[in-house]
Order: sequence, then C-alpha cells, then structure tokens
Amino acid sequence: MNNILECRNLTKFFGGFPALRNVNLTIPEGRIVGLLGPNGSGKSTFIKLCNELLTPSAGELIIGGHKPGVETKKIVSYLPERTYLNDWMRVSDIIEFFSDFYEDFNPDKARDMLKRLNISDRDRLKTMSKGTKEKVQLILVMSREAKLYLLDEPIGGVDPAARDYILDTIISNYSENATIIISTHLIYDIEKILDDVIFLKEGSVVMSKSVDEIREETGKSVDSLFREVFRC
Amino acid sequence: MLKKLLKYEIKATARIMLPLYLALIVFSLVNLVVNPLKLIESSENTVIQAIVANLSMMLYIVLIIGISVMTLVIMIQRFYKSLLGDEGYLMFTLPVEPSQHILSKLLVSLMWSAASFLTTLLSVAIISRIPDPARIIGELYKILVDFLGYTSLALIPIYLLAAACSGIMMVYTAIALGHLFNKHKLLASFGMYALLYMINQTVLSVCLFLIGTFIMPTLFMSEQPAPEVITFLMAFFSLVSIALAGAGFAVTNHILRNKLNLE
Repeated sequence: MNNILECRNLTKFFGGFPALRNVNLTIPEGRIVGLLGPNGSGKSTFIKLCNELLTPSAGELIIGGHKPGVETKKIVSYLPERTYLNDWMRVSDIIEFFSDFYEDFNPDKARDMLKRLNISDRDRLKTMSKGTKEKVQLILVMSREAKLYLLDEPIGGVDPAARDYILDTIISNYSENATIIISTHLIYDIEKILDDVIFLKEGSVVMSKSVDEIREETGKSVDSLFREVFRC
Repeated sequence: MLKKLLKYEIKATARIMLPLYLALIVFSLVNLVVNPLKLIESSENTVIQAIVANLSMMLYIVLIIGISVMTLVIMIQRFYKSLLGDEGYLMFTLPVEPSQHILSKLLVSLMWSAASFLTTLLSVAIISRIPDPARIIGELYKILVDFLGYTSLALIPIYLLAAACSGIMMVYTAIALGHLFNKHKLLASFGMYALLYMINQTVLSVCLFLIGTFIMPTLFMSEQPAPEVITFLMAFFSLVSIALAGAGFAVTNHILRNKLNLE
C-alpha cells in the first residue's frame, strides 16, 4: 500500500512557542484517520502545514510524492475550521468557482446534495446562517474526488442532528482509495467511523494506532482511552 | 489559471466599481441639463434654485472623491482580506502559484485605476460642456507634440503604467512585510509602507542626482527642454519604476511562497 502522507521531524514554532514538535507520521491510502487532541494540541497547525497555509520551521512533509505546493493542492480537499466563502457570491457562483479551479470537482454531485438541503442555486451566501454555510462548505469539499481530505473540526460547532448529517455526508461521498484525516476533540461522535487514530498532546504525537489495535490491546474504546491519556 | 483568477477578481470588484462609474456619468449628464454653474451665476434666481445648484455640485464632488477613494480601498482590501484574511484559506488552497495571485491582483488594480481616471476625465468633459471636444483634443495634441515630440508623447502612457505598477506593488509589499510580524500586522503594514516610501524616494533622488549631473546643464541653458531630453528622462524613469515594481513583486512573492502564516 502506498502512503499518501509522510512527515519527518515536522516542527512549527509560533514566535518562541512550539506548536508542533518533531512529528513523524506515515499515513497510507484508503484510511479514515482521527487526529485527536485537546484544544491547542497542534491539530489545526498540522493540517494547515499540509495545506501550505503555514510554512514549517523544520522537518519534511510529503503528500502524494510532493512537497506542499500546486501539485499537492490538486489532490487535497481541505475544510478549514472557519468559513472562507465570499459573502457576495451566490451558490451558483461558488460552484462555478470550484469547477474552474479544481479538475476533480463534480458540480452535479454538489448541486444534488445542496438540493436535498433545500438550498437553491440562486441563494446568496450572505443570507445563510453560520450552520448552513458550514454545510455548504462541507458539500463543496466532499464533492471533489480528491486523494486526501483534510477536515478540520467538521463537527465542532453544530448540534447533534447536524453532526449525524455531516458524518453521513463524509462517509458516503469520499472517493475510493482516498484517505480522510479528521481533526476533532469530539471523539465519541466520530469513533465509529475511524480506522486509525493519532493522539496529539502539546504538539507531539503520543500515540498512532489503528482502532482495532486499541480495542485488542486495551479493551477500551477510543473515547475512554482518550480520557485516560489526557486526564487533567 | 491566471485567466480564471482574473475573471473572479474582476467579478468581485466590478460589482462595486461599475455602479459608481454609472452614477458619476448619469450625474454628470443630469448636471449638464440642470447646469448648476449657470444657476449660481444668474444672481436673481430664487433661493431654491441656488440650493439645488450647490447641492448638485457638492454631490458631484463627493462622487469624484468617492471613486478615487474606492479605487484605493479596493486595491488594499482585495489584497489584504482576500489573500491574508479568512478568504486566504480558499485562495491559497487553490492549485495556483502565489505569483499568479499577486499578478491577478496587480492587473485588476491597474485596470480600475485607469478606468477611474478615464471615467473622471469623461465626466469633467461632460460637465464642462466643451463645445467641440474633437477640436480641443486636436489642439492639445499639437501643443504636446510641439513640446514633447512624438516619442515622449508615446512614452506617457508607458510611464504612467510603470509608475502605477510601482505604486501598487509598494502597497502589496508593505502588506506582505506587515504579515511577517507576529502581532499588529495591519499597523506594521502601515509602518512598512512608510519605510518603503522612503526607500522609493531615496532611489529616485539618487537616480535624479546621477543623471542630473550631465543633463541639468542642457536643461538650464535652453528655454525649453529639447524633446530628446524629455524622452530620455521619461524612458529612464519608466525603467526605474519597472525595476522598483519588480523588486516589490519579488519580495511579495517570496513572502507569500515561503513565509505564509495564516493563523
């Protein structure tokens, strides 16, 4: 099996403060990976480094055989933890935007999913609630047939019903052989869909295992193991 | 990809600039009909007439200032917000080189600067009721050719373009440099602009001093500078402006490519 993502000694400092310290990871194709850790453990920093929104202070990062850049952006679909949509656009504008820039974007799929949420092509993003905007963003991101999906806190700020919708959307839409990395601290909700987990603590990887291994070795769920590892 | 970036950049800005241009032209035409200057001149008219006239002149001036201010605001905001703000999360995850982002912003900003200038010119032409615009332009052209010569005249648009490029790139470079600071990025950008402005002026002064030593004597001796001298000066300063814009582009590109930190 090929690895979609590899990093060696990846380190990122903000000012003098280390947000990530010597992270070493290899993530194969076709896995759903939970990037788990409390707030401020470096989850977002890691994902932003993968998207070249941050530049590493040291270490190396390879995605699909390339360093972050134009080639990796073609195969990485990223959901940030904030809304990045232009308020003045209509739904039809943003779909055209994604079609123009991403070769792997499937506009019919996006329209279909939006229709099921009763969002029309003519709707303006300005008039939408925060929750609806987040769903639109998720639909856009999952309508790409990418090799790697990087989802930063996709279920962070929403109610449990919306959480189910989001997880369903993720599971039923990612392309075959693709890997999904989901960062979150809401482990209970997400545990059932994960293949692997990575525990981040204060910028360092404290554990990287498959969910099956965890169950076999400890007899515990990921959620209760997380509570144990990160006990305050 | 540059084409697509330009398309969206124009789409995002045209919805602000075009209504402003339209308003100015419509208002100029209205003023042409109402003729406030004449209303003010003819003193025996009523108070209401005077109020209407003054008000419409004031609105006109506000519109003209508004267009220049908006051109500048869009120049700054489209770079600062759409690349280094929240929208940057979208723009910088597109499979596009940072240099193309800078180029698309620069070209569209140039376009609006030129369009704002020309629209304002047109509106002044309308409102001042030039009886025979073609004749006036012809005369103006003659005077300029006499004074500058054909080569210099052709160099005017090139020089303006080069100067505008270096001006806009200075703003972008200042914003990019400000982004390197950990805190108070916007404030730092203003500081950086002041610094860049001083560097810019120093470069220009040094250039002026260097060429001045062998051009000034001829300039002072003749009553009217020879067209060749003007051509030389314009070509030279066009090149200096292009060099300054190029340096700004290189610095901005380096920062966006290697030092980007969207927090």
